[in-house]
Amino acid sequence: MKTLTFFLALARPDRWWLRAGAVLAILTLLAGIGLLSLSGWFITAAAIAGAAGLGRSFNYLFASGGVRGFAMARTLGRYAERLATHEATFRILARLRLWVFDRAAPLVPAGLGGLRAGDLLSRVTGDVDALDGLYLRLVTPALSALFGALAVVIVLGFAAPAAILPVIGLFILSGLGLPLLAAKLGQSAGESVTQSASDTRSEAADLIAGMAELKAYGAEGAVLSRLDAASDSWISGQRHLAGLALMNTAVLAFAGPASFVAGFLAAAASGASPPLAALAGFIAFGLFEAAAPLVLAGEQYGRTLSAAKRLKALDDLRPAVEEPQTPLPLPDGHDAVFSSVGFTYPGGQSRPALTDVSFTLPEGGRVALVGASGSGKSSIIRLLMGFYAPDSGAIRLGGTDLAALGPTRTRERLSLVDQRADLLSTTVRANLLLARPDATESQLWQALEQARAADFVRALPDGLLTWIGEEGRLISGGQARRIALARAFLRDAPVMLLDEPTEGLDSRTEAEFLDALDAWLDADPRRSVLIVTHRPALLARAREVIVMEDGRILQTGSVDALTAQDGAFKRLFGNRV
Amino acid sequence: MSNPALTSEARRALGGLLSAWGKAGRGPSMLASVCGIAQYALFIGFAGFAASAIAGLVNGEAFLAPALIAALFAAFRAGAQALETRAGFEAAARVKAHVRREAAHALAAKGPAFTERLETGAAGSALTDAVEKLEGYFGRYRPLMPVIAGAPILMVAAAFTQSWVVGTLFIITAPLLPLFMAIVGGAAAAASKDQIAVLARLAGRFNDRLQSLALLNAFNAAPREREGLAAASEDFRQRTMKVLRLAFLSSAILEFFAALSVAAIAVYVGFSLLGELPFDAGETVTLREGLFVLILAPEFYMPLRRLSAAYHDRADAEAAAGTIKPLLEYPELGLSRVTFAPFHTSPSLDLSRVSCTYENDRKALNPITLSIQAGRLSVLWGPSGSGKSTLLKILMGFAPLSSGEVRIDGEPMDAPLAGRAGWIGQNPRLFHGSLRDNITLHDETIPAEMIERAVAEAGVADFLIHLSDGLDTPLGERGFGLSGGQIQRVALARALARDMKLVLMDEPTAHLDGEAEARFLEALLSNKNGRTILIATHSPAVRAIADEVFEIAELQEGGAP
Repeated sequence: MKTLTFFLALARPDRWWLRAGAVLAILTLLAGIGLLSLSGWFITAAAIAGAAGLGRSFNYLFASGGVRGFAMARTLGRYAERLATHEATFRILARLRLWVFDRAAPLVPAGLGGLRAGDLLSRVTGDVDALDGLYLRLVTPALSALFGALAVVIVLGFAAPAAILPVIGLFILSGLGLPLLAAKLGQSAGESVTQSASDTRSEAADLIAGMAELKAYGAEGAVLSRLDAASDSWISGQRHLAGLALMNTAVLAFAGPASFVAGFLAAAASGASPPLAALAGFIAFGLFEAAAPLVLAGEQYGRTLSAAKRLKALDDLRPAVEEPQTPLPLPDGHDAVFSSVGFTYPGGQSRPALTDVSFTLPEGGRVALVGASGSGKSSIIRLLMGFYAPDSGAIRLGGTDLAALGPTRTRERLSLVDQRADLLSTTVRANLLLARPDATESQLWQALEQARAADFVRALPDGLLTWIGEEGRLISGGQARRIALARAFLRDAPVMLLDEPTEGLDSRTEAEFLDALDAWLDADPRRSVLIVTHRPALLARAREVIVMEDGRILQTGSVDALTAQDGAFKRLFGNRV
Repeated sequence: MSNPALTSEARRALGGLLSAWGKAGRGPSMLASVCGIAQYALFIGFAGFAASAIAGLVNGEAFLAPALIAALFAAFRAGAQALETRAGFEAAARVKAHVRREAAHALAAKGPAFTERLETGAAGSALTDAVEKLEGYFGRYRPLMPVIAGAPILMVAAAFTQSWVVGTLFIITAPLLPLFMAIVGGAAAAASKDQIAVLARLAGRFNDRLQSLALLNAFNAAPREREGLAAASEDFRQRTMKVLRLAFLSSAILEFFAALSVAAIAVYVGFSLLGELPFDAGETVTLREGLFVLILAPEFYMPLRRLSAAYHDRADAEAAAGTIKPLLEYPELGLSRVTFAPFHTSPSLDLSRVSCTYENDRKALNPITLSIQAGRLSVLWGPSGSGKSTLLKILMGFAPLSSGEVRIDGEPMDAPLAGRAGWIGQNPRLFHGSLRDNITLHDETIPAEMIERAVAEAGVADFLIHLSDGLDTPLGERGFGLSGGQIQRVALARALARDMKLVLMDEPTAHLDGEAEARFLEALLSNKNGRTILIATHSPAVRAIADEVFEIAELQEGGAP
């Protein structure tokens, strides 16, 4: 319940839409009840008056006018209600999506390592959709049922008090008892449906994204049958839920007419006049219209709750690096200094990733980080980017501690090209603008030229506006890398962090890229670069090389100096430099 | 959209597809229809006896017995209704399972040439969400069609036995409603298709941006992207509301007519009973008859109202079918469904003027002729974009062989090499599952010692000790927890565990550092005996160990075919 109130509170900005929807729903229900019961009363009373020859004196204006009025009110009310509740729902859905995005953003990349991307997708699309039920199918029906029942009690209090107990009793039993039962029985089924839905999504993603490997080893059959099994278990979960719904439908279908009979009989037995007894029957029938959505709400309660819980779990995760309350202003300088930095990845890793690491990337510096994979090179970049915070020691940028600057300010001075060369699934242009939203067309092309990417981008079907697919698969790996490089140039931050930047480039393109990088660096003597690499060509351009092993710095020096001595550097590169 | 003829033709095609899918759930669907008609017949019984009870009370006759019989009818009706729902679910469940399986198998048949052009998010959503969207159509809409035809006829007949005026009212209003609904609903359906496409794009965008959060954070771009997503959501809301305003109008018209006709019947019956009708209807309605038609009236419009709700099921299903259809109809690449056993001895490959042009006339490889000898390690060397990777893909069947010929051990290649050759791509996928699953790819026939050997030879053993559960450590989607170099080594272990005699590698050392690359090449050299290995690479270190190097020239646009 606490989880649900949390998400209800999230909808506060849209409360007027919600309230309008609820009021309209109540009015619609009341009009429906009025239409049926007034008609029943009218016909019966008319029959008696007609039989007694009193037809002329019967006040039918009230009845016939009321019947038509209710009919109109019901139609218009329903239309307006649906518009209002849907408007509210979409607004809240958008709000929820952004809420999830806001929660997830600071957690990446540190806090999401254990979470599958498929899970995350399922959270946003599936769980957020399930939550729309909270407003549309949980709160509104409950309110309108409550007010409907109140109205019926008031009318029956005047017309046939004896009918109140059976009518309201049956209504509570089926309108409250059934949903509760449905919620209880549906909860575990709802959770298992959500789980198998997410399994199905993961298998589907594996099949699509891993097709080449699967095909190569003839293993697509195995994933196909896993997908099949997940789909089957999804459908059986739904069948279980449908079975519960079925029982409720049947009871409900019977309870409506039964309460018609019960209301009528109770009123008649208590000596109410036949028109009022008919009214008691019809009013009960009309009220039952409000029971079906309640039962539906109960059935969905489980799914809604488990979706809400999983979304709420995001809220409880803390980012690895918090923004300081009042970040210090960026200093003028930007030399990066690691002082005795120690760091262990969170999540039960026992082995430290970095131990007592101290070095300086001065303004204008060109430093290469080398070492076997797992030696801590990438960890240094991640710490500098503010993705993680050191456990001991300090990292300073221009003399100010990163902890006091906060990750956002820090990153304004940094520009990163990652090994993966991630590209967004959007146009080339939008990918570039990521680095600098206000860049002009000529700046974009200049950056592409610098990264040796202009020629092939010009040859793409729509040029800058070509949509490049997921992970940029419509272009080759080397091309994706060059777009990522162009993006980094466009960023124009004084400190460039390059993590294996020329992987996938042939040696000619690599040399061209290095020339471009040199040109970029030379253009401003304060620009500095930190390159993680194992390519000799890149080392040749570094003024200083740091050799790492098992999270420690083993050697530091120029390439020439390191080549001259026996040690880790020589082991790594032999005579290739 | 602009060409209505094309649209209706496209709709017919989708309709045909839906009909074909419907065969999977035909039995339960028919049962649902029968129960659907039965429940309205039983309701007529309820209405008759309920009216008798009230009339009995007014006229001082027995009312208890008819009231109880009415309750009995209600009970049977509830049973029929439940069975109708259940059978409908079953029909939909069978269709969904069938379609999901078909689509997944079709994807597998088309292979990576097709899937690499798909966005995983959008295509995954076609296999999951779009298939789910078929539920309403097959569970409700289709079983309802016979009910629409049958049930109103029963109720009109019942009404005529009591009052011709009411019966006529039913007959007149009934066909008007679907007409109005069709007019309004047609517009809604067209708009709804549009909206589902927007929804798919929105979901795809959310997926992509969530997966790329690390990148967004690196550029402090998450807040900006959030605004983009907010605008997209806002756009979605506005479009959807536009559709819904129309869609709800069609059901409002139904509601309006249903409510109006209940009101009209109540007024007619009431005035008739009072003897105050302003015209001579030529019939005298008794209280019992009047009540009977009054109870019947709301139910008479019920099947139509259900259809109006289900109308959107149909629009949803058509849109979903539109999403799923491309997965089914892209031409298969002629990947043989016959599984060939992997080679027992290392094969030789002879390529003669082999070239590749994709169907959009994009040239990916100029004609090339080369001869790869059995048991040798050959390297394809050339600038990026020259077609090195494409050449490997042609051999595997992942790219079309547009012209030329490939011979294996002197015999023409009758089927691509998928299933017969090891493959290490540029960005190997880490599947969710254990590390062991990622090496065996769920092939349980691979002996444990082969796995262990592969783990040692590929250098997986180096980081295995740091994994909490060794080979049973679960690996996340997209390989969270493993570095690029580690993933590449897992991919190498896949090939070694199967003892493939032919291994194709597309820049296998791109993400390995010098030491790891050296170790990898060392392992490769010690395992190269008895294998034909073909590597596309930029790495001088790989080139240095090659038995033979094939230089591939830069791709000339518009070069000789």
